[in-house]
Amino acid sequence: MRLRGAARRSIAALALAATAIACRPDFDERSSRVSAPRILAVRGSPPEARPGDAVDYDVLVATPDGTAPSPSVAWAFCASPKPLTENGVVSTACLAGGVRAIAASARVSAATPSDACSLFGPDVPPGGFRPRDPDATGGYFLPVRAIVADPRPDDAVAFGLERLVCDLANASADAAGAYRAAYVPNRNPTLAPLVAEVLGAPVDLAAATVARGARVTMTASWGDAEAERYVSFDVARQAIVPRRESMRVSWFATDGLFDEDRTGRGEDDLETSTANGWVAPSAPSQVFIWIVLRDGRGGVDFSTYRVDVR
Amino acid sequence: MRAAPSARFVRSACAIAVALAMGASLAPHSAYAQDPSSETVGAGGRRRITKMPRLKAFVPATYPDAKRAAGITASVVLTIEIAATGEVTRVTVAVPAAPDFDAAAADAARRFEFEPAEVDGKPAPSKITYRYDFTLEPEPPPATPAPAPSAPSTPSPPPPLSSSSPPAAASGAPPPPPAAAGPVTEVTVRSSRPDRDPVRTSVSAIEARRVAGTQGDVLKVAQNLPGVARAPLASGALVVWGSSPADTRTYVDGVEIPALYHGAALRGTVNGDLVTSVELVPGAYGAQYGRGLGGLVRVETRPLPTSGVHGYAAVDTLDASAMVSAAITDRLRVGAAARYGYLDRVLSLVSAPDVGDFFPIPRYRDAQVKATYDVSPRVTLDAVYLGSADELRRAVPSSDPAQVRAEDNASSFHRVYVRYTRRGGAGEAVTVTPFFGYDKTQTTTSFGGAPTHIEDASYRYGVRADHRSRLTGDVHLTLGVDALGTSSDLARSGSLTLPPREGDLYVFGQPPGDDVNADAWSTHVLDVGPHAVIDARLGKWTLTPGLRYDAFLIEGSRLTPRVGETPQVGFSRLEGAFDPRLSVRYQATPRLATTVSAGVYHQTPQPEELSAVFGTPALGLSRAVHVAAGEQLRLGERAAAEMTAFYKSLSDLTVRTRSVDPRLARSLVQDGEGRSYGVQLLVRQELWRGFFGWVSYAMSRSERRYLGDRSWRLFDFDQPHVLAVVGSQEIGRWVFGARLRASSGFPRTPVTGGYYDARGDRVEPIFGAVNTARIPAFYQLDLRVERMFPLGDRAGAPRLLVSLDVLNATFHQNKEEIIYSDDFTRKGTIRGLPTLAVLGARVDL
Repeated sequence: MRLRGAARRSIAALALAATAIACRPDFDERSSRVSAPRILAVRGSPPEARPGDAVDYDVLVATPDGTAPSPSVAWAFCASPKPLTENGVVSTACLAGGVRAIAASARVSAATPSDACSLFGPDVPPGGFRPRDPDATGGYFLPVRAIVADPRPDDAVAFGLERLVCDLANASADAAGAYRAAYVPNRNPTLAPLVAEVLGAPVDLAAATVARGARVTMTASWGDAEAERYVSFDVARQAIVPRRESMRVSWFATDGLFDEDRTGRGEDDLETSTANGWVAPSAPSQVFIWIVLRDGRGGVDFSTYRVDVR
Repeated sequence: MRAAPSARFVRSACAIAVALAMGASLAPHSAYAQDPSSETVGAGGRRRITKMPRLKAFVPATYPDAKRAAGITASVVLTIEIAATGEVTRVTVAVPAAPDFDAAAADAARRFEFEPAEVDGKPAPSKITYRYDFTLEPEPPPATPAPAPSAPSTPSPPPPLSSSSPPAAASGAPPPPPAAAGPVTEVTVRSSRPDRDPVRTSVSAIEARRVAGTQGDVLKVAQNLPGVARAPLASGALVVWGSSPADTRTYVDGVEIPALYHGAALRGTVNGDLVTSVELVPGAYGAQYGRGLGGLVRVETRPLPTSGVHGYAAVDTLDASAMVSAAITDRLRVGAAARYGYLDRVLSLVSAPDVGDFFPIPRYRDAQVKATYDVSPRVTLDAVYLGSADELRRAVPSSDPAQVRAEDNASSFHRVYVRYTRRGGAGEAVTVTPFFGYDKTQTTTSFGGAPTHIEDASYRYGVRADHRSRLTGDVHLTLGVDALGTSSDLARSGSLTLPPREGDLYVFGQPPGDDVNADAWSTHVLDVGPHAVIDARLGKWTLTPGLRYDAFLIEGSRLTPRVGETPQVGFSRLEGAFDPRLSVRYQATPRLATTVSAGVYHQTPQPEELSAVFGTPALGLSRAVHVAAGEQLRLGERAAAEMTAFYKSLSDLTVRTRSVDPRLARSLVQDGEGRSYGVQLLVRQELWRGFFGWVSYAMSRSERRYLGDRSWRLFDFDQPHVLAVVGSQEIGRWVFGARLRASSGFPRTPVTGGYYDARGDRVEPIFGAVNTARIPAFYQLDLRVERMFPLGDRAGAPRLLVSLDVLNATFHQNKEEIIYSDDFTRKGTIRGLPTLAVLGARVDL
């Protein structure tokens, strides 16, 4: 007896594993939405420094009313290295008292601690201690704490990471010498002006208005030289290897909806721009948009735009 | 006028194949023994069948008049249970023919008289499968006095149960069915015996295959045994009496294998039709085993049928599998099995696209080959190959290069071993099992911009040998050696904290730390463990002292991290450990026994822990002390209740250093301490009138701390309450089963806040006290139904088994893991599969 189509389908459905599966809760969250004061970036200029070098630090604090012009920030250097049992970027001790205070100001200039390469870098005291491990780009970082008091964000504590110029760990003298000769310290990237289009037509976000509900394609770009080439020490091969910075763009807005919260280009991707879609809100309003560009070695740049939605 | 044909029947005693099933054993004094062809001394302390049951008084059955008049013949297969006195205690119809034939055969069999089976020379209860053939012969010529039509001819003495006798030729009637052995038959002999591992639970393959929720996989029954915590979702981890899964060892025929289950615990790595029993010893095990601080899982392969060709082919939602065995000669028999999994392809058709993100769904395959050669009546050679492979690939693309996630895992193991078994008189036996193996694992992950690669290729070699002899009376001595060598080549690069270790601050979904490094090293660890065990039965007391000495050779290629082309300096050291073991049993009454057991255990570091970069080459042995005490009460011949209390103390555990300035090549330290304690209850009914089941409940606590800390923290796998209720009922050709599981959730470290990482543009968690939160409790009801369809009328004809396993029949959405929003301000849970139906079909040849 041959089974008819419906019976065959029923049997096939019965034989299969059951039903649609809902696994993960939907928190309905978008990190691109700024609905309250938020820290969006911490920038060090230069982004890489030697112990003793002066670095200027500033912070980008976004609010629903735009960029906070002069936030009240308490700055400090983290002074506690992270134990191997902790998975975060900084030691939990730096959330409490394990810091060296710098100053309280929207912007601050401070000398990189002289012991930074021993606290957070590969320099170890005599006695057979384990050097710190670098990150995937081969770098060591000094955590810089910024606590924003006014306007106060939900996550009031932020850590910027200042890349350190230190020696190599567990490298031969030849490799260390080659590294010193070839390595170029990081510079902050520079964002080109944002390019916006609506239905293929260019839009000057600063001058024009955007229709309610319009879909705007925004393209963030940077120069060829901004994704810098550098060298790092490959521990497995015990050799200096050429690298190229990845570039990541974080998108933020006080209203409307971005397609993606973050876009970017990997190390091997030679494109110098990345695009994102943004749907304007359905009600007339003034929307603030921030673009934050980060390179793979910790350099930062950011831009702010104000868009009138009619 | 010619006389009407008289009814004569010829009964035939069936050839009983000697595929034995290890029966379920509750009270330690009651266990199924193996047949002589497969006994292994030292592998669980099995006794030896010295005499099979013998039918000494046959009772002919009354041929049903209507069937005789119609000239209808038939065969009825019976299951006959025989007491130690030789009396038949129960007869059930295993393969019916017709109600009147069934009733006549059963009625006659109830009046059979047997000489009982004997184990080590002592009478023991047993169960046999017996085929009763009803055949017709014509009346003799009138010149010869004819027997009365209803009077059967004098039956010839039944042949021994180890052979088959063809039926007498019939004429004028349909040809009788062939008198070959019927369906694969079993002789199961139950005997009292002392246990060297008194705290153990053994489940026969017959029962294990029918447990609901296991899809007929024999090895998966281990997850439902007392003392085993419910495993984390989609993991095959066996958490036994609060021990780390890495501390429990799994053996097949005494040879250690690295994994009992394929990835996500979908299937066992050994085909269940090659398994005769699965045994769990949660702790306090005897001196024949070592190198582990946790428990033991022992799997025994089943003896191959001594005649004919047998096998099966099966397909279900998860995979397809098959097995075939054949008796090549009267001494040589071979068998082979294979399985291939395809669930990943099935689920991709019906499930949510992101199901693979949270439930690893591997591709798996395994194969086994076994050959048995009977050198002599007392000497047997087994040669076995085990192979298993798993692969898992999943990728989550992202427009953000730092959010691209990818995982590529591959693992496999191979084992080849030969087992020499020689049986003597009075319980003496020698087994020698040399083995060789190759294991490989390779993991490459990318998460949060921190790529990780871990690779481990290991050759394993060794031998397990035991000689059991009787010193005097009821005192036996076993001398043996358990040796294992592992030669490993490893490479690792990436984050130090992937995978996280017990004691690390970690939350589900958190990217690994961005501190990375790399290392390549090799290790060689050799352990030679001579041991001696005495079994002394002194009246009501049974004493089993044992002593094991492990001599460890630990070698590595690199003592410090690599620096340029500087010649590497390796290391080599010897460590030794004496491990005394003792169990004492007091049989207060024939039904009530008390057992106390204790022992010292040591464990070497894992090869991956001996890295000069990611671990510590100088790691030494970890240590544990186990103590267990219990009462066993036999409620009936097939039912028992058991209560066991246990305590484990662990020291010198390997943990990650908490120092902010660790020493070179000292990422791991032996500053860990642990303790586990609890009580477990088990009430069990062995197979009786088609029903078996058990209720097990365990209440326990498992803790860890760093040396010098005052307070304890909950162990990552602490599970205070675990309940399992299992039952299966056979009704005719139907089998119905159910399984209810309920357990506490695992501890988790709560997140109390967050801070912003400006370089990574993400919020990092701020943790509360370690393991002070807990995943909500779990409960699940699984159902199983199975129907057998005979594919032919003759006894021994192929049959079709169709089964349906419904996991989580109540659609309860268990919370499997705690997950947070990206800013750690909101908390939710990942829920498990609402339900999963596995439909399978299997043809037994």
